Parts: sequence; structure tokens; C-alpha cells
Amino acid sequence: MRTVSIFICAFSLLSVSVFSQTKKEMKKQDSIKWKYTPNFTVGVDVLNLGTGFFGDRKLMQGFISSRINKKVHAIIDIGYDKNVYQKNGYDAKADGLFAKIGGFYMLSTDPENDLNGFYAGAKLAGSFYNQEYKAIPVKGLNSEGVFVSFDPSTQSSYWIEAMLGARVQVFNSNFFIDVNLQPRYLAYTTKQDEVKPMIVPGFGKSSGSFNMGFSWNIAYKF
Amino acid sequence: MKNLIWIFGVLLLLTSCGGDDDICLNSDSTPRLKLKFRNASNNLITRLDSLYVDVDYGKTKLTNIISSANVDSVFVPIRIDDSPYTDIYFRTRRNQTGSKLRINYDKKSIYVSPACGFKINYENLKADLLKSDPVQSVQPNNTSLTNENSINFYLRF
Repeated sequence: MRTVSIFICAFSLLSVSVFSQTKKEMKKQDSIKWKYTPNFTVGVDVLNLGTGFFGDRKLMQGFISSRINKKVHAIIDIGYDKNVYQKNGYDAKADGLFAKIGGFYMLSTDPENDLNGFYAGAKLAGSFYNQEYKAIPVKGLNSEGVFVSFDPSTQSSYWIEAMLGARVQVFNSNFFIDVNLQPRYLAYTTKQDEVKPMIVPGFGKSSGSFNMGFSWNIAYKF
Repeated sequence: MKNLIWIFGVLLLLTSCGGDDDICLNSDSTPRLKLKFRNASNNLITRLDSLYVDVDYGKTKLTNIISSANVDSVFVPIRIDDSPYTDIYFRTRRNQTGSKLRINYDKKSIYVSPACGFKINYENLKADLLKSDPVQSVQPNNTSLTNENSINFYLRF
């Protein structure tokens, strides 16, 4: 319950600061009109793709974003994540697909290139995955090494995610580097026999409802 | 820009205290068997001037639970593995052969939390006094063990 209230506090602070920023910027630029023409930026998370070769977690993700107006972009993320959890007597694995949909707002942009700058946004995310809990510890005094195991099952989880990041054009090419942090909160998950999942593909470790994701993307603007 | 750094800071702070997946408080784990003592002659609650309790957890050696003087009750952790019973040995003197008490039960695994995993609750507790002296007989009190609040058996010495 405490984490929930902390989250609500942080989220309202966040939304207030984002919202107030919006108002200020609106006044300055109401004379400039920006017309939507179909445009897409496609990015791949190279950092997590790379670390997948060295660790247990294989996370592949990418995004498609589109500029809706001068400051607002819509974004869809799609990814695949495979992970294991072997700690404190647990032996679990999970793998599956996830998708996120949301938008972000350019907080401050480079005066010479309004695609460069810092942004903040929010997304709704869902993950559909297979999990197998081969061992969950049973706790009792003077007895160690007792486990409960479960058959593989299909589960789903849903979370909300904030995003804070920066996008920088690589010289004058159509390539961008897009780096962002994704603080996230697990809102709902299906459970196998009431067991809370320890890992959720796309979300990460899920024993606490909060988690932080990081992505470092190379993007191409069409 | 300043605003942004501030938001980053708060969010980092929040996520840094999220690692609660390895702290399990003892109260959330499997409950222990609670035993009290009665005087065999008048059936009144009694204290023992000394008591030694050992339990067979299926290891090569018995595990000593308590060796102490002036005892009025004892908590005995019982087995959580597949064994349908736990053998408990009681002595009132160090060099006694002692009594052997076999507790039979039905087990149920209950999920607690990510940190604690599962705990066991026991139902249909039955005590068989396989070897008497110093324990003369056993009186059942509460035959289900789901918490440590009530007394499961009275041992009559």
C-alpha cells in the first residue's frame, strides 16, 4: 500500500510539472502552425540487444514514433524478452512478447533543430508470455531445500510507464540517437495459483511493483 | 531543464527502494508446533525444571531445539518436506534416553509473498507417543496448525 501512495504522489508531481510546461510553451508558439504529414521514425534498442549476448536476459525491443504536431509525438514499442530468475531458492524463467503505446512531449528543443531535445511521456504496456516456475522455496525453520514447482503456463501483465529521454540527430543524416529512462509501475498481472511473478518480459523484475527500464536506441527517420 | 533533473532524481529515488524481494519476516513463514506441559498426577499446567528437545528433520543427526531450565512451553518447528510425520524426542535429564513423540499431519502449501515463497499449514495433527517416560501421555488441544497462537498438545509429565 505504501508504494502505491508513493507512486501516486510522484505521478501527480510529474504530471503537474509536465502540464505546467505545456501551458507556457503553448503561448509562445501559437502563431506557428505545424501541419501533420505522414512521418515515421523507427528505432532499435542497441544497448539491450548487446547486453543480451552477455547475460541471462535477452531483451529485443524497438519503436515506431510519429510526430503528431510541433511538440507531441506518438510512439509504439514492440519487443521480445526472455529472462531467468534464480535467487533465494527460486528457479523461474519467462519469455514472451510485449507492446507499449503512448506519446511524448518535447520539453526543450534545440532552437536550430526541433527534433533534437529532451522529452517526457507516458505509455500503457502489456506483456503476453510463457512462464515456468521450476522451484519456489518453502520457508520453515531448520529445513532447507524444500521447493514447490509449477507446470509451464501462459500469463499476461499490464503496466504503466513514464518515459524521460533525449533525442539527438546524428550530424545531418536521418539517423537519431534516442536515449530514455522508463520508470514503470506494474498495474495488473494474471497469476498462476496466486503466485506473484518474479519476472515479467518487458517489465523486468516484478517482485516489487516499481521498476526502471533503460534503452539506448538508434533510430531512422523516414 | 532544472525541472527535468529534479524529476529524474525523484524517480531514481523511488525505484532504488524497490528491491524487497529477499527480505522475509519470520512471522510469515511456516508456523511452529506449540506444546505446553501438565502434571500427570493432577493435570495442572506445570513448569519443567529442565527440558531437552531434539527433532529428526531427516538429516543424519538430530537437531536440538531447546536445552534449558524452567520451561513452561516449547515451540517445535516441524518438517516441511514430503515426510507425513515428524519425530520429536523429549528428555528432562541430559543422559536420559527420553520419550519419542511422532506427530502425523496433512500438509497444505500456502503462498505468502515473493520474498517468503510458500509456507506450510498443517491439519489433522495426531500425536503418537512411541516411547513414554518422561512423557506419560499426550492430550490434543488444537489439531490444526496455521499460526502460533494456540496450543496444539499438552504433554503430561
